[in-house]
Amino acid sequence: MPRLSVSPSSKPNCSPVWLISVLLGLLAIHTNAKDVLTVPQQVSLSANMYTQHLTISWLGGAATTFDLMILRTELNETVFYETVSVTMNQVSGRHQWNWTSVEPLQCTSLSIKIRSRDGQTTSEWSNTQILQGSDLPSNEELQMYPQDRIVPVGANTTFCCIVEEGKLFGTIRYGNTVMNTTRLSRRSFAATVVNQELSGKTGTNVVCFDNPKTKLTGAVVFVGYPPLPTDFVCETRDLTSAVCQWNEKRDTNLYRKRGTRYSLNKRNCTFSSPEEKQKECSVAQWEGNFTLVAVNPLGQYSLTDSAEINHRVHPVAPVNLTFVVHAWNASVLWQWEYNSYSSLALDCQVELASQGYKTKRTFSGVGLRSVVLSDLYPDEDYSVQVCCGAQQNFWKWGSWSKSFSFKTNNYVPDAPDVWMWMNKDYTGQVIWKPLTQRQSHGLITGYEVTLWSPEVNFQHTEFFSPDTYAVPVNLTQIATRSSDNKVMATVIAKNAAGVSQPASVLIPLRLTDVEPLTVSRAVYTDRGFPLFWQHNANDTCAYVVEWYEASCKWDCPVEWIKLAAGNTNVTIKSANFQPGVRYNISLYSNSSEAPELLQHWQGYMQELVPSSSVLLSTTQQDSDILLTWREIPLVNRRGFLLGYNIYISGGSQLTLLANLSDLESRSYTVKGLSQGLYNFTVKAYTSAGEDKGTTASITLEPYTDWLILEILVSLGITALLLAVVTVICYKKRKWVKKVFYPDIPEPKLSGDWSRSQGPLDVKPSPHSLVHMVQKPEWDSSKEVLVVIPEEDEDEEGLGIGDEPVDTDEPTSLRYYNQVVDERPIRPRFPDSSDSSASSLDSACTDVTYTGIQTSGSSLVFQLDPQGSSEGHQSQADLSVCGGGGGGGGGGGGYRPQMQSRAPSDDIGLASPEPFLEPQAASAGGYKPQSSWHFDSPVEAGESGRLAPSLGSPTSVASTQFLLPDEEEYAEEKRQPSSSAATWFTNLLSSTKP
Amino acid sequence: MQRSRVRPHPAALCCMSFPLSLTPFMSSALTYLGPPFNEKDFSPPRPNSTALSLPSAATRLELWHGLENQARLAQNQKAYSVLLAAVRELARSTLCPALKTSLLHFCTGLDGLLGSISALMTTLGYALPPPSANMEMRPTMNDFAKKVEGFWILRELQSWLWRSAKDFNRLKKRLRG
Repeated sequence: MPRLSVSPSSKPNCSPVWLISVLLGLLAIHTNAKDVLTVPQQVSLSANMYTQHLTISWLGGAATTFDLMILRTELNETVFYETVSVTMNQVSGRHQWNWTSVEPLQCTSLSIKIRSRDGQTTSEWSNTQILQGSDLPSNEELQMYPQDRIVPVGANTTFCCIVEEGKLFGTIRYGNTVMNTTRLSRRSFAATVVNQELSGKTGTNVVCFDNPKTKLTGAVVFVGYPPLPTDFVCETRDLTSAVCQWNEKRDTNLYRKRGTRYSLNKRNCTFSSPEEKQKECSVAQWEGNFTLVAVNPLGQYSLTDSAEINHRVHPVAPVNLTFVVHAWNASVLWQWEYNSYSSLALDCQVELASQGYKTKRTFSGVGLRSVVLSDLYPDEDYSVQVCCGAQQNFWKWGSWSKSFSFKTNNYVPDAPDVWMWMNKDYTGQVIWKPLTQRQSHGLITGYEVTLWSPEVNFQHTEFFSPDTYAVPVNLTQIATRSSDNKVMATVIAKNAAGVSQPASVLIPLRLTDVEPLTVSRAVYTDRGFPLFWQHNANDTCAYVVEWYEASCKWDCPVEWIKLAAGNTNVTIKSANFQPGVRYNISLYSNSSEAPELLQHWQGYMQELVPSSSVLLSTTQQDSDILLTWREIPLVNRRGFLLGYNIYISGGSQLTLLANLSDLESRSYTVKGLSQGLYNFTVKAYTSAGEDKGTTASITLEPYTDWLILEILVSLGITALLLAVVTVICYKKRKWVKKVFYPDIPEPKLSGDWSRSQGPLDVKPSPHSLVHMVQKPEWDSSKEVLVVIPEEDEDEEGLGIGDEPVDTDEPTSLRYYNQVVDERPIRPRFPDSSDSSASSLDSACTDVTYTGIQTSGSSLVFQLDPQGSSEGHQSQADLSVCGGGGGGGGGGGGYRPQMQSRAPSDDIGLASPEPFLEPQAASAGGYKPQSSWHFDSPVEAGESGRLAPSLGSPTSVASTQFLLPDEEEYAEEKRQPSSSAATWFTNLLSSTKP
Repeated sequence: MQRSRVRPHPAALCCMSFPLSLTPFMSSALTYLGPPFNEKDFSPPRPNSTALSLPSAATRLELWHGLENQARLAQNQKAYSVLLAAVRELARSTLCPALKTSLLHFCTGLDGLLGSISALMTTLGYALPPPSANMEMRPTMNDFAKKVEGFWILRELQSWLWRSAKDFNRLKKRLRG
């Protein structure tokens, strides 16, 4: 570093005169101190540009307090002005003070001057010393400071840019950020970055641009951390040298030449992969004390470790593993990399891996090089790894050797686990469990099964392939020949190493005679079915617990477990257990005798709701309903049935009627129901809930006996009422006749009607006239003319009203009171008895007046005054005369009327009369129909206007229909159809042939 | 290019192609240098360092076309030999493993290109230029100056690759014609 120094130009003169003066001055020490303060001389500057330290030294005499002033030379700005206490260096006799500049010292020239101070008294300022910056006019280049600075995270750094001579300053960028700048001199500008963050691997660029951007310069700053190693520890592998390891706790973010350098016991460490966090450095000899020093440009960090070598033995991995293999054991041999291990007491771990499981076995010995692994399984693959540690002052387990594999030799198989299944006859199966690899001790080549019965000297042997685990047996013949109850079955497994011990089971021949025991329930837990039983102290037999699906009846796939004598409980497990399946679990004795069934359980792994519902039927019993259903099949129950719920459904809701917990009761009677349709649902339930249920519907019919009784009573009452009415009517027949059927004057015929002896020819006679008395004021409501069509049952059924008018069969109409006999037409007084008999059986037209009446007066026929009797004539005349009066129904002349009746009324009254043809029935009255021609009914029918005439009475004399005019017809339609009196009249006057 | 009297070896012609491209890693290389080196309009002054003591690829086009084949090939050869050494140094100094791999792979391509040019010059009977100055003689540079130098190495390399591609295509056409 350049050192700048300025030498003083003069020295103090120590003459006796001056000394005297000093002494005199001491006398007045407090009067004028200024006289004794010396001006600092020989001010010299020494600058460290990298650290930005400025060392100022001077000759200051006896003064210990000085004022220091540092100015930027060009702009004469004060950078530092403080009073400092500085002691004189006794060797050099100089005062020295260090100052650290915020800005790089190259940024601009600094002027430094000093004066002595004693209290308020100060000396003159020393000569100004200038530390020249790089912004001198002689240095015209564009520059930037500091360069290649390395700072810790969080530091503040001031950068300055000296623009080229004659150019203007532009900007300073720190990375992507444009910095605020301050002017230090004519060409120098500074920017300060505070709290700096980690830079990138290549540092952060600080770039200065001039204005306009014609040139640029820059610097790179690296922001990182000082080193921080941890976990420093030393150990030995070869029992001679030391290997020390440590970790870098954090990345310093400084690399290559700026990266951390390590030294171990003052020997530099080199690394093959500097990027790794875990470092390792070796020392050829164990030194006991170890010091690690980590250094980077931002600082250093030291760690120490000390230990004896035998406390830090970390054995290397055994090498060259070899094996000596047998069926049940194997020897493992290895070698050590260093001979020094031969005298080292070692504990060694052997990790044995087989079938996915690992076990560790530990062995000890001095310089251990081999171990014997016992309790291995024949014909099994093993892999072995070995690692060792020092037996004394154990430090840590050494490195694992490479993994080596071997396979043990074959051995004869274990005896199979044999059991049997017997059906209800003498057939069954001898079954055995497949041998596992650890039971077969080698590849099974086959099985040998022997059945023998010593009593009948029967023995039969057969060989089976390795994949056979069940052999059907038929003991029918043996059973017939043997009085003994058992047959022995023996199974032997074979492999390449030999045959297994024989495994036997006694097959009882009288198994079918065994009475079923009480069945208990086995409750499944998460570990299986726990079973308990009583142990008889006298029994020394072992046990067999077998289980199978309860729904299986023939050659069932049975599972079993054999238990030693003395056991009183077991929990059976099986991967085959399924939810919703009932299992039969049986406990058998297993001795030299045939197996004996000791106890029996049933259980579900998990109960479910029944998979099917009951088969439900409903029957009516009197006024009750009997529900009966069948039992759910065992397979479908999927749980122990707890009962049945009987519901009645109303709409979408089910209402519980009864809960039957008695499973044997599969019927239920529902009482107290009224007639109607009912839906019943029966649901069986288990502990898991109800099944979906079966719904049956039934319509509850009325109880027949009561119905008959009700009918009879009704009929009796009806008959009684009819009798009463009949008697009353009979007794009051005259009154009735008078009220309801007053005498109607017989029409008088004009001309010589008497000559006509034959049937009445209804052909219109040109000489017959009907004198109609027209009365516009006629009130139809006062007169009723009811037309009853001829009572033809066929036509009744078809409905007359539906028939077209132009039918081929002219509608038969009948006039009551029509003169139809052979007698000459004469006036008649119709009565009720006559009315029914006076019918006209005409092939052409048959019209019947059911009644021609007036309300409170008589209805007058005035057919021909000449042919009428006088009396009648007078009556007719009277009637005609009175026709002008109110209330008279006749209105004068021949004006029969027909009371309109709505069809609905006919239905509502349940009248035995056939329905009237609607158009005819609705006709309110009659008027002559001049257009009708009897000989041409078709023509008449073709005219729609004639349709109402079908129900219209036809005058015998005029052969004219009396049709209502349309206005009246419409009016009549609006009127109520009939009154009760009209109905009653019709009832009484209706005639049936 | 002017027609040469000597026919080049077909193998040399065959190798006169430019599969080399800076494009795949140019962006990552500039990003590695940090801003503002990866900015589009950033252009620091070209330093006169040893690593850049190569013929400039910015020679005016008419001047370049006016040169003899030999001169142009010699300049190509010199430029790529200097650039190869510079890119190798870049690869050595980079701290980014992926970028280092890319640069080293590119150096292999550059080495092949140099061999092709040398073979072509030899075939055409031209004298090979003397080897370039030793890179170990580089003066100490600050980190910013090294970045600027790296920036210009990549830029010159890109320019030379563009120019050479055109030159070689033209030369190939003429020699075959």
